[in-house]
Amino acid sequence: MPVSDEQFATLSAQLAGRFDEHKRLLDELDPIAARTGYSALVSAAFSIAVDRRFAKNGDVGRVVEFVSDVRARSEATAQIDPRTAERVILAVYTDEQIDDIDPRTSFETQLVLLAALIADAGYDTPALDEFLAEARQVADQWLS
Amino acid sequence: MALLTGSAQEPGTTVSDLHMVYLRGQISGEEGVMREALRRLAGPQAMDGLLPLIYEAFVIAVQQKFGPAFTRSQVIRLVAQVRAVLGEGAELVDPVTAEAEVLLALGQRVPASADGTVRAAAQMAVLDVIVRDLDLDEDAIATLLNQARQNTGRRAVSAQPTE
Repeated sequence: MPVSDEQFATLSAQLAGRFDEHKRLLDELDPIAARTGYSALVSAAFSIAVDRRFAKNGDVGRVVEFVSDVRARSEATAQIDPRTAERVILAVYTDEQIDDIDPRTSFETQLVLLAALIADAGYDTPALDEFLAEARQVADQWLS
Repeated sequence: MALLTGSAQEPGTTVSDLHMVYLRGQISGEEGVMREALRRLAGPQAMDGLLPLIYEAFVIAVQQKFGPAFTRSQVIRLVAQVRAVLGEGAELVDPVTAEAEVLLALGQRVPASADGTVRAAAQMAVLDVIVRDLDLDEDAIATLLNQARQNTGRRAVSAQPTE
């Protein structure tokens, strides 16, 4: 089953900074379908965002610096585990294995990092739309 | 994880001159000095005074760096800096442990790792970076280490059982 419009709208609202709308849409998501469609969409968006930021110059030091920067932004972001965060980033473009990381932890960590990656990228509305469309396309391929 | 507030230290642990020489060599990056001190540290209890000395030096350095006002963000960034300095060796320092050690040194009550070796590795790495950051000259390093030695002695006395 491909990514639904509701799942797409939910992530769009979050990454565009419309947090009230995001929370409302998230509450309305079908929890069973969200485990596949929404998770796939988040993971696809995360992979693309990481690839754009780190693939060309992604030594471990830059990843460590980025994760610490994200964790230093707020008490909430400080709660993500630094090693887990570094590993889920490295897993996108290196042979880092993350099978031992609990899927829920991995998902929540990716979501925090994704928000930071998008905020740092400073996309305007058309660029964010283009980014999300690409993520949806990748997620749909994974789900097909 | 256990809630700890300082270093575990056996009553009667003493810091020897060789421990001082070793730690000074480590901080100054003088491998020859360290190796020679290690060679001369012999016997089953020869290393016992070193970990408490490292801990006290670490606490003094952390408090010197941050003073009474600090933020969690500053601690996170310091630990990231430590791991960046280590490069490929970043794996040697567990970031959560290192952050907890710094916060404990600053008087915060946070869960610390129960693994003394992991804690000591974090303390040593952070101490190293802070000393370089503060750009301490030889006299300042000597003062720090002497203070650490005194504190180790005081802690050992206060840990002695009273009759």
